[in-house]
Amino acid sequence: MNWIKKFFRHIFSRHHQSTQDWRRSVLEMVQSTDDVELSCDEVLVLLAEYTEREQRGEDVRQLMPLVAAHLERCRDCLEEYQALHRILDAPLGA
Amino acid sequence: MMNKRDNEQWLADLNAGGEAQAAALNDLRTLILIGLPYALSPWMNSSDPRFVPLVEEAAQETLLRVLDHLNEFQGRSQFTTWVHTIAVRAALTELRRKYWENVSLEGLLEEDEENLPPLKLAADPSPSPERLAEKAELAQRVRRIIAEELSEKQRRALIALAVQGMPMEEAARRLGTNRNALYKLLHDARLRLKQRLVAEGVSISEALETFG
Repeated sequence: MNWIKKFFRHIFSRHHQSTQDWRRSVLEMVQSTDDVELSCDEVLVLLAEYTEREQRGEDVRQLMPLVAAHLERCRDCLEEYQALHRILDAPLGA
Repeated sequence: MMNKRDNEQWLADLNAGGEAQAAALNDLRTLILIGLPYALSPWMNSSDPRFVPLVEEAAQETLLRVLDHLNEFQGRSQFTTWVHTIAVRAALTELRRKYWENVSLEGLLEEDEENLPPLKLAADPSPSPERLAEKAELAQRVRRIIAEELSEKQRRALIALAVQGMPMEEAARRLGTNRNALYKLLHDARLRLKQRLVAEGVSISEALETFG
């Protein structure tokens, strides 16, 4: 790579705005890795039940720990769980 | 006026075809359109001009998926809650795609080895030269292990998630895969890294202290 390209990449790249090495995030992910984890699609199948039981006040972290662990790891699924919760909590009973 | 249905009735009507199915689909569509404004409220207000097209498209996609996957409903929740989970995923997938469509990963994914972020030494305000060397050696080992264990696809995905905060869904799309497959791929990568770090006697907690 020539120096001009390198210079502009240095100026404009978001990567270089970050002072944190991405490997730190990888290490954090590795630290919380379990041998058995549910995938996003497996969680999707269980998410309606999980959210309803949680809404009824059941201890879902105890009852469905693999779903709870996935939601701590996967931001996409967490956002979907929270969005579903908002619907179930809605005053119109949607 | 919407019919009140229990799970059995929803399934019966949706499987019936004809007018009963059309009425059930219409009622489901209404429920989806009532629910999505609550679901999307942190990201998009219902007065946003992009809102109506987004939820209409998500509702349509949801109804098609519901009909295609009716036999997968296991009755472990209210049928309507199951439908809402599908609608939420459809809407958020589209919202994420729109939000990230103009963000490029180029440059982000190439690494400039001469310009690595500094090591974190703040916990140790006056480190001895030996301690500095130990930390540098540990960081180098961790970087080498990560480089050796990750495939190019895994590396690209992890950088997109970790550095840019890109959603898994979007990172998967960019890499020509889907979110579920990417999650499994990264789970394999995390497990392999964990085993390798343990095998090489690297303490993850200690390594975390080294990276800023």
